[in-house]
Amino acid sequence: MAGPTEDGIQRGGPIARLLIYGVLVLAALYFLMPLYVMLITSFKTLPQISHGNLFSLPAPFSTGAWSSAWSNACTGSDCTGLHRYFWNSVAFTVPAVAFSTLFGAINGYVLTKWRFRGSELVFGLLLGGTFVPFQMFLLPMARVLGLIGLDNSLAGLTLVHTVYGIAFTTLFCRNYYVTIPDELVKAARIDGAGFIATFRHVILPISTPILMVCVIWQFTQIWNDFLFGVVFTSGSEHPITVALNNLVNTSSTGVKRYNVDMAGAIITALPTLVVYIVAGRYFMRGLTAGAVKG
Amino acid sequence: MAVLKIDNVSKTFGETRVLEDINIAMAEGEFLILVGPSGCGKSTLLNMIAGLETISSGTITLDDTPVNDRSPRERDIAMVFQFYALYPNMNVRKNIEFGLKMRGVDKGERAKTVERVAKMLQIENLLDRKPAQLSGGQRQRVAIGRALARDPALFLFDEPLSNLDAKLRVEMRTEIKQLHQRLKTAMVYVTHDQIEAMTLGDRIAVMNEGRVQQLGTPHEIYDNPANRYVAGFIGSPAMNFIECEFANGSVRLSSPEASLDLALPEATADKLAKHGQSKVVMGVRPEHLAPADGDEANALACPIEIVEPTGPDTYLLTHINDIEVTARCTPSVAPDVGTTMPLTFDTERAVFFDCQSDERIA
Repeated sequence: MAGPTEDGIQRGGPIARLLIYGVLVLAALYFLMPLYVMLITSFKTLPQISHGNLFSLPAPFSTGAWSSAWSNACTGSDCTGLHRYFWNSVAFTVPAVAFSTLFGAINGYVLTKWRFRGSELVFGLLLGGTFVPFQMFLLPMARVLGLIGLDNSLAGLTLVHTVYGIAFTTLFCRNYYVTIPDELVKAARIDGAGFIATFRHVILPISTPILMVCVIWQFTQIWNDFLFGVVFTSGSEHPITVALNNLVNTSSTGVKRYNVDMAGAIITALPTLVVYIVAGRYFMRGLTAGAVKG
Repeated sequence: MAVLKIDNVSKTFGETRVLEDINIAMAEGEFLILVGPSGCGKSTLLNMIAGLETISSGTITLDDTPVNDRSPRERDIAMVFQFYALYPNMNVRKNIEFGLKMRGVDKGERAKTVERVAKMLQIENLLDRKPAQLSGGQRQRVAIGRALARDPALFLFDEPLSNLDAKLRVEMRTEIKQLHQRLKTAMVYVTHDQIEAMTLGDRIAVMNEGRVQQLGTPHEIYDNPANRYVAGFIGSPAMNFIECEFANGSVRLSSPEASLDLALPEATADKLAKHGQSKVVMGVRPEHLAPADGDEANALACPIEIVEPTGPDTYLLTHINDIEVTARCTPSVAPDVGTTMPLTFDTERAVFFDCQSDERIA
């Protein structure tokens, strides 16, 4: 029997509850299944994989695949594992996330609190930038990188991701700053703060939720990117996503080492997972902050 | 010496003129009110004084120095905003001292100032709280404290009380008045509330449609409104405007039950005669339209349609010349609804306006 509860929200009876939770649990299992298979496979030995059941637990428990994926698996002709490429990815992802987030925040600040003639047009154009597919970017960007001497380098890849990301971070920050009352900036100006001091002392300290959104979004985009990485770098400069692809598609012995592939895939996916867990609670808050006040 | 001088100041946003030819001079220590409906340009004018808005033409002078091209930082002013505009990430102490910090005042000096201001406003116990932990009244007090810390030559208030509930608004109004009497610093105060304007101001500038309609003391504005707009804006309940025919030194008034040729004082009649139009608008405040004591000759018998007791006064609604008018009386003499009551007009206090231009005639 359904009836209104004290807080006035209509809730189902025990059977409906059971049904809802049952469906939710099933959905969770369905989506967690691949992760489970990946995890247990990565801790199995090769004979176990070829003879055993896909879902059975590893016995014996082996971390060999992980150390192999990290330090000596072959990615193409080079057999030093993923670790070098992991640090490659860190080396361009961290600055690209930082720069694109910072520029997005400054852009959002200017577009909402220091409007100028045509600022709406600038915002419109930036908004258009969020719809440009990666592929359209490739040729012009390759030419530009060549001209400024940053082709085939991590610095170049940092630049590409920063530029591509600014459209998104600007959109996020602008929509967040629109909800911050203009009076706050006026008060700061009366108090003698200029453009930068207002940004630093007044706007930035209350931007944490939206900066977290930018960081999560950008980190996920940049770390997981394959296309820019494969096009704008080569060989030892590859990001981990490209290296993972090479690792999976290289079989020096002719045998598919599923355990190493799985370990490599998890290593590749781990950083975005960590970022989401650390900053995730801000993510929903940031995404909905504007919606509620707007 | 004028603290603030506004000379022929205009403001346009693209094609729209929001302020036209504003001229105001403020003496030292004066409390000036800018009052008007929303969209009349009063806040824009205040922002221009503050330097938050550019000046399209004309000059604004602070302490005898033109400041048109100076940033807010370079003007000796402080401002209190309608929505408090406290920095949410800073506690009360940091909010108050932020302006001093931005101007490079050293730490010891800042601490002393915070202490002085906090004591003056009785917010010493709130210094370590964040704005979110304060009530509306406390927030506005902190916002005032932030302005006080600067010790400026001129305070600007942008509707500081309109976000507070009615009771708190009256309390804070008194506090601001006391504050002004203690500091004796000039203040410009923007409001749309005519009661705030009347109670606080040394002088009031009534604004409408981008122009100053009248600038004067509360009494001048109330007793001698320059035009129908000012007359209707100031005073609650509003002044009654009765269209009537003027002839032979008197105006003709009719209620649904009776008619009267109301004789006007000689000076008034002269001005109306000189104006030369028979159709005029008579403005009478409710308190100048009262039940007759005995059978006075110039009383008009009116059927009372609505009786509104407010406590100290009772308002009576009736129709004169087919226009709804309000009369004020003491509750003891208030009649019942539906009875007919003779009402007298204080012709000495009545004012007259042109039918078309709404300008004052007499």
